[in-house]
Amino acid sequence: MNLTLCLTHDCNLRCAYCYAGRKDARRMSWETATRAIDFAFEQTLKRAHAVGLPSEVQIGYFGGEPLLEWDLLQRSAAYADEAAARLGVALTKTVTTNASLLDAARAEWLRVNRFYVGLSLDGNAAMHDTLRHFPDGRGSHAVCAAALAHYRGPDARAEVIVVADPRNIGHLAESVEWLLSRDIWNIAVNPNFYIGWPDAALSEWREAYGRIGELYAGCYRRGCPVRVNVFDGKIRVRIKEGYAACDKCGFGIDEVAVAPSGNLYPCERIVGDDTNEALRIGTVSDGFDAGRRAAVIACRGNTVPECEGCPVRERCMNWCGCINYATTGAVNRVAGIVCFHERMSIEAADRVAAALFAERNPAFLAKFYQAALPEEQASPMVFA
Amino acid sequence: MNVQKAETRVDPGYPTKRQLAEGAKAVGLAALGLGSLLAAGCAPSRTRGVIMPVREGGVVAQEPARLKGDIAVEPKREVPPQPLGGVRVEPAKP
Repeated sequence: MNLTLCLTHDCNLRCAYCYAGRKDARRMSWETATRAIDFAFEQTLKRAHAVGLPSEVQIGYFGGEPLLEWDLLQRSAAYADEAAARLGVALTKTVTTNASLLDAARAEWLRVNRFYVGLSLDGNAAMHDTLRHFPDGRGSHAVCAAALAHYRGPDARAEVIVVADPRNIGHLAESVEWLLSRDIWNIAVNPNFYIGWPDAALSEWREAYGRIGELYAGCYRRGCPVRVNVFDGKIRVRIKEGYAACDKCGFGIDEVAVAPSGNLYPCERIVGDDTNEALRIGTVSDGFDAGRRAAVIACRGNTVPECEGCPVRERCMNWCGCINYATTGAVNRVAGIVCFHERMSIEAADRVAAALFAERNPAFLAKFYQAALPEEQASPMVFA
Repeated sequence: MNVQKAETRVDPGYPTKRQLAEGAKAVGLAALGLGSLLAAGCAPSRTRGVIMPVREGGVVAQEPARLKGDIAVEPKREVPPQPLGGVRVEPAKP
């Protein structure tokens, strides 16, 4: 099971595009956190026994700003580690933070305790400070960017999450360049689909992806196989000929988010103010509400008729329930802006991948094709 | 803005894994063993959920299938299936 613990509704920033609902003092109790962890292990073991899958749990800490509840995070992570060891379940832990409270000691603790860290940081100061502010209106870049020092190089177990928004899109490419210049190897560009995108912003977005593609290719030509999610994802899904069922999120099936109150939702993006009755699928105290959960699961997928016959349908994220819900009000109906983004990112990724493949770029071939071949066969002659 | 079909594209300019296997066969590299990898693309195995296994200090570290808040979900990376009784993915130990 993929469990998200929203430790608090509170945050020390007031980012303009935040989807996590109003910021207040509601926080998760120790009892709720441990019940949720117990619930995740129980459900995982039950499913593993039923269908013969290996037992794996991923626990993601989210908010609000989860590092505001640092003690609860540490204690509950230790509790989960103990349970995983006792039950023989593989455990992955992640935390997504705005990085403003991530000092050297905390970064070291997360490293030692094998967390994968997501840093919500929009890139350079011009981009970041456009929308990521403290409550008093001050930009947060100077404080947040200091944490990047702990996550440099190819071995960092972290990614920097950059939110592309029509209000900051003009700085997107230079922000990616800024991050790459600081030895950040893992960058996730997450579009803000919850807002209207004027035509001029769409044009800037397309230009930015073109420029980021050039930067990406440049890194590979220097032997540095960086990850930029919109490129890596679309290249990988082309190579494997479409998303597999297990690539898609388990919205309400084995993907569950827990609000500070203990209410369960199918995705952390749905938690918001914790008032969405339509998509609440249970509580940690009582477990899943079978009827509500079945109704949510039944809605998954994409039923937009225009998508039938689209040549890139199998490479498209039209199945993302939370984005569909946020943009169209229906879990199973993809929005035009998502369609625009998917077509644009596929085109940009293919342009870069075709060039690197034509060059027989060693870093590109090793990253995207090596694993597809037995070691003894993955020699340059295969690609000749 | 409405949903629109993509323009039909003939070839993105780089091969799929299947095309690569077919091409390799054509140049005489037999028995690449890709069949099992293709089958393993979504097979229940201990690599499920793993994008990039990294060996550190004797422990195979797992990358998350999806980071919280990250919507641009990547497909899982194809990794060769580990043999039965192979490296065990262990929970982290503090």
